[in-house]
Amino acid sequence: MNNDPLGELIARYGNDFARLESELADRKRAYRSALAAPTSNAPVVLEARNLVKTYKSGKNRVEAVRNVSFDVRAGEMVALTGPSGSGKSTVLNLLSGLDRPNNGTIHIDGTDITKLSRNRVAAFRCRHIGFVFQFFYLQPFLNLVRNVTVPAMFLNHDQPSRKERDEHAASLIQSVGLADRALHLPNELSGGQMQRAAIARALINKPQLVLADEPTGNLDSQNAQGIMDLFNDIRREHQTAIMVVTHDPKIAGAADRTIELIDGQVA
Amino acid sequence: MARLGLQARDTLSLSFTKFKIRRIRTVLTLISTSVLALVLVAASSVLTGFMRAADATPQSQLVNLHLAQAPVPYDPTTSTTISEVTPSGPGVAADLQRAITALRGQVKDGASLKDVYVEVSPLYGSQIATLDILGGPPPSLPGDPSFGPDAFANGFVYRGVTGKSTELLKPFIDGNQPLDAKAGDPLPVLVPTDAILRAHEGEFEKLKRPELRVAKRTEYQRALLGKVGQLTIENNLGPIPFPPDDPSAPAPEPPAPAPAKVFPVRVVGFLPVSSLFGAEESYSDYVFPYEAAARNAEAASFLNGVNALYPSFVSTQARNAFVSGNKDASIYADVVESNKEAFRPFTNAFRILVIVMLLLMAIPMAATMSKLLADSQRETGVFRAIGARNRNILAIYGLYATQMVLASFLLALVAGELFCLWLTSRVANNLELAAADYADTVVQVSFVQFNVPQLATILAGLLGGALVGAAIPLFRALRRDPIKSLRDE
Repeated sequence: MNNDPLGELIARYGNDFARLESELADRKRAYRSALAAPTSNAPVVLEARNLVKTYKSGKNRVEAVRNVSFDVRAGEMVALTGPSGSGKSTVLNLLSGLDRPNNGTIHIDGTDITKLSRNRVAAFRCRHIGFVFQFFYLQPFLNLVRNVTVPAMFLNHDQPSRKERDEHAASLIQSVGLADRALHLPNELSGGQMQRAAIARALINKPQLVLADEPTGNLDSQNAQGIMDLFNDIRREHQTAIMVVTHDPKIAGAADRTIELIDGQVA
Repeated sequence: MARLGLQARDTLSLSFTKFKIRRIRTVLTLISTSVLALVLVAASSVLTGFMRAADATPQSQLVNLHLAQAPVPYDPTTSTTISEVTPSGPGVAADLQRAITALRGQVKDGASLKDVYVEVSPLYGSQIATLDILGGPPPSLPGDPSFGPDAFANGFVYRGVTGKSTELLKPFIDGNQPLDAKAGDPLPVLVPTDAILRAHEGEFEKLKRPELRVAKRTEYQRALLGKVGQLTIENNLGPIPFPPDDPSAPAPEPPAPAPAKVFPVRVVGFLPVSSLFGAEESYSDYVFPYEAAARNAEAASFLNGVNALYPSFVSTQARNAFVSGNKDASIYADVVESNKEAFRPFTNAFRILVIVMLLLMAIPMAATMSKLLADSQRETGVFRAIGARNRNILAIYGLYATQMVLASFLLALVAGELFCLWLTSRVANNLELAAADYADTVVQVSFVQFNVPQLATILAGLLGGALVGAAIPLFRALRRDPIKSLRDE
């Protein structure tokens, strides 16, 4: 057991402060991740079983997803990786209810969304699933507070009052580090800031599950790392399960575990 | 309710951002729909202006009086026919004198206005009576240019006990109000307004501006109202001397004038008789029993209902019905049936107009919505990914179309009424003068009108057209796969 980790690092890197700083950041991240990691008895939020999705391409049938099964627990961050065409986005669409599997079940918070009608699954998604896109997709003519509250506008039941909603949006904007930008329009923000705003939007209805499709794909490495740190904070604070689709091994490495898809199957 | 209100407000704010997304197209659509709405609003205002001007004429008021008084059904056996005069030759004046004498006999102590109801037509081509109250020239002699058909305007015996204005008509309409008449009182008459013009012709000629002429005539009319004068009836229907074949031969002696009879009269109103009765060659004078008035309640009720929608139109049609001369049928039935019949094409035309509006409105709106939704595919995909249901999407874009229509309508309303204001300033004076010539009355013409039922119909038509136009692209967008929407563009 090393009682002086900092002394050890200084001894190791000497005057190479850049490497020293990098090593410190990595250790800090690992520490935060360890703090955020769910316990093994955390409830299962997402349970996907035997998912199959096939498409018709002319006369051919393409099996995009083949017998995929996995669980995601509350507070867990799972990276879904794989090469292009491996079925990552298809799985994400199935999990969100935007698409329907040919076979298999998806239970989110105990509800099998494959059994719900299109409108019901939309209402369920609104309440239980947060969505983060690669290109943010914020409303260009709404300021951040209004943008963050958009999903709350679609709530069917238990809609909070406008005041409550705005207060919640403001607190989320603060928690993603954009308090001073709350009344700015999206085009006045950097890419990283826009993605933070999009994450705040995904959290407005307090979902149990956040699905992020290449959330760092459009960001530089520094902003990408910042977003992953934010995801870690969120799952720790809100016990939200996060599933991130990514190509980036570094991003995948920040997750609790990685599900790799190859040719539509879990590798 | 609070939740619904919140949702409506949110949807409104989201739909409002669409204006910003497609600015140029929105502006173009706004212009096209506004122009369409402007045409309709202006048409409505001008039409209403004409209708209300027509309704303000004494003819219309008199027709309303007829309607209020006409027995239901008309039964000649219960009416007292004083005389029936046909301008067929000598002796007419004597008949007319008898008629008026009988009529005066109705004016007894404490008589009410409704006890006396007289209509005496102008006798086409004859000059049998002259109103002397203006101190005007004596009756024209044979050979005078005003003799014959042209003399029509010079000599009339006019309707008794009616008036031009609402005030004069009110006693009739209100019921059995006393005239405070005494036996031998002057017989109430209406004066032809063109007689005023003729009596003061020189003065009117000096006035170049039409509105000044109208104002001047109004001034004379006011001065005349209530004055007592004389109605002179004389027979000048003797042999008409034609010009001799030989121009050098001496002119024949004019026939000796028949002894005239003079009746005292009191001016109670002004009447453009010529346009009311046109060239009717004969007319009947009746005294209607007034107890039938109660039976007119139904007629009044019907007419009130119709009048609320198209007041002047009823009057116009009612007048035509009244002078239709079908004595075998009930006057009331004639009027009501005529009104219904007359309204049918108008109502149908209005319906067609609404349908045309709807179709015309649908075209630019469908084009705009198609383009907007095509440009917003990704946005609708995002909305659906973050939990929007079909009805949320429908509401956002439906409200966008509604906002567009409301904005167009408001623009059109303002622009349309400004146009009508300009039109009024340009042509109303001429129309007033033309009305004075045609209807022989003072009518204020203004096209700045707000016919609420018509405007409401226009707005409903525009909304309907816009929503029909928006429906197809909208439902197509809803059917689109949200994953494709997110992936494309």
